[in-house]
Amino acid sequence: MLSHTLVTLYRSLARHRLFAALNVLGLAAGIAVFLVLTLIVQYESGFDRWLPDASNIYRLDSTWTFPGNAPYEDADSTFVAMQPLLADYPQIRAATRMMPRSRPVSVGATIASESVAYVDPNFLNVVRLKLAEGDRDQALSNPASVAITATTAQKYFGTTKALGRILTISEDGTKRSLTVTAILQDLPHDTTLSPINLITRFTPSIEQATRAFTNWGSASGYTYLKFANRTDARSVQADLPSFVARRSADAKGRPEGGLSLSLVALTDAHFHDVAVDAPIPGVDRRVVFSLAAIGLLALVMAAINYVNLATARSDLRAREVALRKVMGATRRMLLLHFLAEAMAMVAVAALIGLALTELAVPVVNALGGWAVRINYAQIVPLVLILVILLGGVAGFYPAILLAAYRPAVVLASSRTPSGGRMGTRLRGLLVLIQFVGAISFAICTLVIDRQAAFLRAADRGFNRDGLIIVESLQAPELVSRQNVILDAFRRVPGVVAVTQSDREPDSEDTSTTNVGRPGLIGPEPHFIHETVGRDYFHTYGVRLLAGRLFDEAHRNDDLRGISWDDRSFNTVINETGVEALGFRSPEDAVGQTMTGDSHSRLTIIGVVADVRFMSPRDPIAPQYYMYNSHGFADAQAAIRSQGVARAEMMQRLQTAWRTLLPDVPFVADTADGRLSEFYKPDEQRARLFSAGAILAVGIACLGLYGLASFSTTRRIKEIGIRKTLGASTRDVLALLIFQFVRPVLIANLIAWPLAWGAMRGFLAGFDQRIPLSPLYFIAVGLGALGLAIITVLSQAVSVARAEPSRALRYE
Amino acid sequence: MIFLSGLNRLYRSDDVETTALRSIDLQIDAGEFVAIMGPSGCGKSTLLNILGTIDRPTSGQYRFGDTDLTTLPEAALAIFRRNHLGYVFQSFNLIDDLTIEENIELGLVYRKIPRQARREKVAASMDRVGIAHRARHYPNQLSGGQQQRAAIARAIVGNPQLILADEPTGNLDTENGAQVMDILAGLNAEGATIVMVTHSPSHADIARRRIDMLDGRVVISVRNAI
Ligand SMILES: Nc1ncnc2c1ncn2[C@@H]1O[C@H](COP(=O)(O)OP(=O)(O)OP(=O)(O)O)[C@@H](O)[C@H]1O
Ligand SMILES: [Mg+2]
Repeated sequence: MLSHTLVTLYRSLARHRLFAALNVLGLAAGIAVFLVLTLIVQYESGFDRWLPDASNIYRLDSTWTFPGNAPYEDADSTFVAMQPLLADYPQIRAATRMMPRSRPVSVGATIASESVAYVDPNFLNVVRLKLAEGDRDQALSNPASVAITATTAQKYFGTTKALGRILTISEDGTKRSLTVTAILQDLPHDTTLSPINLITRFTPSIEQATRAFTNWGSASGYTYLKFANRTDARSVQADLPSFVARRSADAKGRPEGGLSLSLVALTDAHFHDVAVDAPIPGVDRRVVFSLAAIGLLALVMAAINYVNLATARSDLRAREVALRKVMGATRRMLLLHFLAEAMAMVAVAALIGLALTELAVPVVNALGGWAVRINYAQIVPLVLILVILLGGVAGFYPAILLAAYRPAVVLASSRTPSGGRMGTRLRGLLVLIQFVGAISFAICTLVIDRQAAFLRAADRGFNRDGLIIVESLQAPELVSRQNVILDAFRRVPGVVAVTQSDREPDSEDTSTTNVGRPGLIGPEPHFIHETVGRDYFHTYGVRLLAGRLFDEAHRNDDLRGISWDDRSFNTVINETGVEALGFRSPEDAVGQTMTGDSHSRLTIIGVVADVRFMSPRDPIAPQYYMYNSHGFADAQAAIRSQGVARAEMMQRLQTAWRTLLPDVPFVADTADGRLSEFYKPDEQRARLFSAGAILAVGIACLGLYGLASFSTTRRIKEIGIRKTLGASTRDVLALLIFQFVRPVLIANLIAWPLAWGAMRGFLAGFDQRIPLSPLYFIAVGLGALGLAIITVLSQAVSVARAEPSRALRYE
Repeated sequence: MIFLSGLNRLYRSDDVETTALRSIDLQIDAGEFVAIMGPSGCGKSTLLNILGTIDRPTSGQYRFGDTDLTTLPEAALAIFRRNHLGYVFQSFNLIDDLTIEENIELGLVYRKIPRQARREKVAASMDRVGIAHRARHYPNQLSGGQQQRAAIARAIVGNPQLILADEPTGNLDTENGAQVMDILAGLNAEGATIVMVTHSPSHADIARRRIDMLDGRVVISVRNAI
């Protein structure tokens, strides 16, 4: 029996090879999409779950509210809050703080900038990172001890067995030797913790230098609180507003704007961090949900197609089934036969699907920036369930359907039973739904892709070509030497302009000040404040709209030249600033004065075009520029070069830096590289969606193919008759193609408004965006139509061309 | 062996009622070779289908030996067909996806017969009808006569007591028809009971008994002189 079943299966596969291949491959593709997306969803929702007791560890976030601006949540918070929290709330089992800093680290000749986490001594007991070597309780018992990751150990010592070795860390120019007391396993990718290469304790000098240790209005790192359970955490969370009011009321450095604190469980943080200034960008829960939905949809669609094709085939097999009944097969035997056949097919599809998943995972990781891995212990049971479920459905339907046929009817007439008008209609509807999905998905993909391309090329108000930003200039100990360093850069061949500023593409922090002017109605707008060095506008290529730029000739241009008592400076503002202050035009603003920090008087000498250093999603803020000809805090250098390859220029700048500052690691990136963070997610999404759209269209076409093959086989006789009655091949072809493609036409009508609504919402999230042109819709619609025609063409042609005699044989 | 008494078969579709068989009383003994004749639509196929248990009478009794088949459940009927019945159709009804050999083997797969024995029976049955050289071919690679012989081989492979043939020569030319009739006559000579529907008087003459039907009734039943 079983061997016979397998022979029958094999024969029918071998005889209908294309049909079988499409059927199985379609299902395999659906299974693969489902598995890959399941893995991604699992990855995205599993952040920090590898960390022991992560669901009871909470990050203390701060939310700042300045009048006139939207509240702004930051993952870091003042370090002052920890002791009072511990004192006020016994529910808090433990608390620890961490301040990430970039620090030059050296061992012998190896010197590089590393992510150093300064922490409280109990850090590793609260955030229990996995240790490869060393003792957790002893690791940070000494201020001069350091825990390093395996990779870091390998990098500096050539081995992970580095306990007891010494490394040197440079803190604002002061060097300190630290002894390695523990080796950490490298942190997994799915973490919301900021990158960590080294962990060492806060030192008194760091605590003194960091305002967050004394100041409620300042934050430099993260505070983690550990609770026994969620209820305790909730009760503390509920009391935090009164805590802030109570404890910060007469404390020093009281926050000017409204500060509120909140708790975020580490296991929730990744989704929560979408709208938060966090070390690792969060992901929108809705994105993950939609991935899960798409995965499920792909699976369901592929399964429907599979069942459709399988049942279409089984309708054609009614004669065989009737015959088997005559031969004495019982209903049970037939049922088992069909189930076994279906299970075997689905199992093959699942195996191929697994192989496809294995192939797809690295590609998807590269496309979407994930670090997904296949865990077979979880995947295999899932696949088994799928096989049983799908095989059951695919085998059960034809079994029941066919077992119901009366063999006498089937065998006496040589006609194939109709299999029910309902079934045919349902198949048509399912294909229609698939095309609605595929077409709207494809339109969205096209729009997202175009928007991503637009963002990459969009005018940001400055010229990105050949612009390199040297981040390492911002080390505090280098302030007095900034101009010397910039002069060294100026001498590098190929460099055409050099400047420094305390804001740059993808600036880490932004300070804002409220700015007023006589006669201004309403609240004072918040302006971004940026200090710039010589040649700033020239180096960045910012357009002057009115007035003049800073120059050496005007004494009040340069912060250095002005005595603070004067409190009278010259400033350049941006176009949005003109609007925010209510001037009619840039020309109108020039020569006017505004009031800034500490009652300073700022005279507007020029207006420049808006510059976009941050995300294209965020609106441009009003901004004013101040000029400082000497060094100033947080300054990073910008270097424009011409005619030299990027890598070569980087090399030359590094050499220039090394000659001058052998002890400080050189950290630099292109402006483009720094900005990539803003368009990369959209580009990644676009690429991923493209892959998804191609698959969706493929699956839909497969459904159409099944529908077409089903009805053509059935209509061979009808077409034979039509042709005997004088219809030409062309007539028949036109008839068939129109009938097959009709669901695609209808699908377009439904899909367009859906896609339009979705994309209007998507584009509204961008400050800079493309118009939603009807061309996208037309292009996708025509594409789908073309593909649909190609899909059904071969079948239509072969049926239309067949000699009627063959079609009518034995009838 | 076969006892039919008061057998009726009604087809009801929406509001039209067709009586295909009207109170048939018929006895067929083991070893008989019966030819059923009659005009188109008189109920020959219906009668044969009921004999083959792939259709059920509306009323009346059908006994096979001592078993009342009219009251048996579907599964038992399947077992009955498996063990006692061979069926030959006018339009062959071979499965396109299986080779001739495998098609014939279909007559055995639902019985518990070891593979080796099955092979031997299939080979013997193919020899019997003279299509052994086509064993590995597919049905559409064979002529109509060859296909019908293959279908007969399938019907007889299990050594059934009863062979039912519905116009077995209907789609065949004279020569092929004669071949098929030879085979059937030979099978009958070896002891098989055969009930055959035919429109050909000469083929009906080969049978030992002839039943004429009209409008769902048996009108004449005569034994041929040998
Ligand atoms: N499934 C059915 N539904 C309704 N009526 C039917 C059905 N099958 C047969 N009939 C009717 O029953 C009658 C007998 O049909 P049957 O097929 O037995 O005739 P037949 O003698 O075999 O004719 P032919 O020589 O043309 O094969 C006919 O009037 C036919 O229309
Ligand atoms: Mg008939």
